[in-house]
Amino acid sequence: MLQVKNLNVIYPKATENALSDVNIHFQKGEFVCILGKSGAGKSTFIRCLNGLQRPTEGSVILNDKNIFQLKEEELRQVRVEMGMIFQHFNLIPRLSVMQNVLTGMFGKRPPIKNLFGIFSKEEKHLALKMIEGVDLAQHKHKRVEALSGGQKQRVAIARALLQNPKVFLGDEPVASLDPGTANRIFQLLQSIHNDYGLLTIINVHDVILAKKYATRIIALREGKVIFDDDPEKFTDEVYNEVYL
Amino acid sequence: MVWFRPKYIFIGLFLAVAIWFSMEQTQFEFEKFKNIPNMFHFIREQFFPPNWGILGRLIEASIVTLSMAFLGTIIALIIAIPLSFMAARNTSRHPILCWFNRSMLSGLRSIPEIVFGLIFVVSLGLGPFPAVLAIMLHNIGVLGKLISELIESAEQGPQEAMKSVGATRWIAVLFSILPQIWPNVLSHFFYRFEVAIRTSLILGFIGAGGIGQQLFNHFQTFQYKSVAMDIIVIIVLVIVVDFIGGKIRERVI
Ligand SMILES: Nc1ncnc2c1ncn2[C@@H]1O[C@H](COP(=O)(O)OP(=O)(O)OP(=O)(O)O)[C@@H](O)[C@H]1O
Ligand SMILES: [Mg+2]
Repeated sequence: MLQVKNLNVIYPKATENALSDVNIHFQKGEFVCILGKSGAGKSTFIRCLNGLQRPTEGSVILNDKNIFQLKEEELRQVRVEMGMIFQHFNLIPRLSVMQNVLTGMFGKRPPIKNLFGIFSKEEKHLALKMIEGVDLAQHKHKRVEALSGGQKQRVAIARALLQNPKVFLGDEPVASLDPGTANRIFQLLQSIHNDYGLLTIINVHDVILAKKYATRIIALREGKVIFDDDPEKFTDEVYNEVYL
Repeated sequence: MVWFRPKYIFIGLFLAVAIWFSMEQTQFEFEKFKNIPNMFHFIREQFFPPNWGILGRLIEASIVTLSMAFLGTIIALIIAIPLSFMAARNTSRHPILCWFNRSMLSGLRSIPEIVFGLIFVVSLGLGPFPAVLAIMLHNIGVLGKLISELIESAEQGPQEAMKSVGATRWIAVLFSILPQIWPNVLSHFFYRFEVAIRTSLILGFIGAGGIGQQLFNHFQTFQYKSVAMDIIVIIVLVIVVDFIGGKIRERVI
């Protein structure tokens, strides 16, 4: 359902490709973890998938359309179908949990209603359901600054879910969390993945998490795909090749 | 010795010449300090006791002064916010628009209120109205620059998040940037408001009304006991505004 063809990214002033000739075909229902050491191109790759980063060359094809040939308005609609979470959560400061989650609907509503914060009963109810889904109901009126890292990431997950996405993207969503919390976030992502029948693509630097939760592992090195297979096949030799 | 390089001697000589030259220009003479006791004597004789009889009139005049400063800066803020988004590199739609807005803001900023004030008093007549315009125009330039710098240094993260939920451009920009910069915007606003109060005193000297004009009139007509009263009211006014501004800032941040 999501296909990456011949993707190349060269940053301005850089001498080497951040991504070179990446070709990947993703299927609905896959839980993909992307591994690679720092600077391998993981963030660049995942940001290309929803058009946050424009490639120098190549295409990302969703539902038979190259997202880089879309008009701004159409690209927005594509982004609505792709929820994304980030390492630093990227919540809106000074707003409450509820208000932050509600922004997940912004892509589907008229701007004027977003500006004045006009939400129907059903919309608020839906947001509340998402907040309950990530187990934050008792914090719904708290400002997000007052939450722990794990709680912040759960707010971000609820926000992304409110988009009702078909694809779920994560750029190192657990990199700033402790191992226990990281594991619980992955459990949550897995159950959401199964409940909604998503395609989930997540960057991680923790091989153990990837092997535990992924149905497919992709490894990048210097912008090239050097492994793309089942987690069982990610052996110690492959590990050495990726990280050493 | 390392710390006495010849360069420092040149710098020292240059400074000495510059100081001497400036003293010549301003007729700064140490002999004149001999007159300081006369000054105390003058103040004691002429300024005391302050003329409490005009307190009521001065309070009315201070309200005019406050209103001038407030109106000028609040209108400036309302106009400066959208302009800053158009002038900030990361939110401006087009580099040319960005450059145009920047130049306009720095143009406004470089003209002091007193210059605007003189032009408007001559062309629009005496009274607080030209002063409000003068304060407003200068502060659009100042607040516009400060706010567009805040916008440029706002964190990228929330902006990316708003893009990825598919929000339209301006909604994304507003929601991801305004909450981040709001406390700083208010803090600049209050500071500019305090500056505007001092400015509107000066603008009173050129006929803009308020307590500045009272001070100027009393001074021109040698009513020094009233001048003393004006000064007391001005000091109290500045302290009170500073205190209230501080309280509001605490609550917002
Ligand atoms: N905005 C940018 N401008 C220039 N070069 C960049 C930019 N972003 C990333 N790069 C470079 O591109 C390469 C890939 O970076 P990327 O951020 O995709 O790596 P990563 O795998 O996500 O690393 P990390 O694990 O540290 O997040 C790196 O060499 C990096 O220095
Ligand atoms: Mg990264």
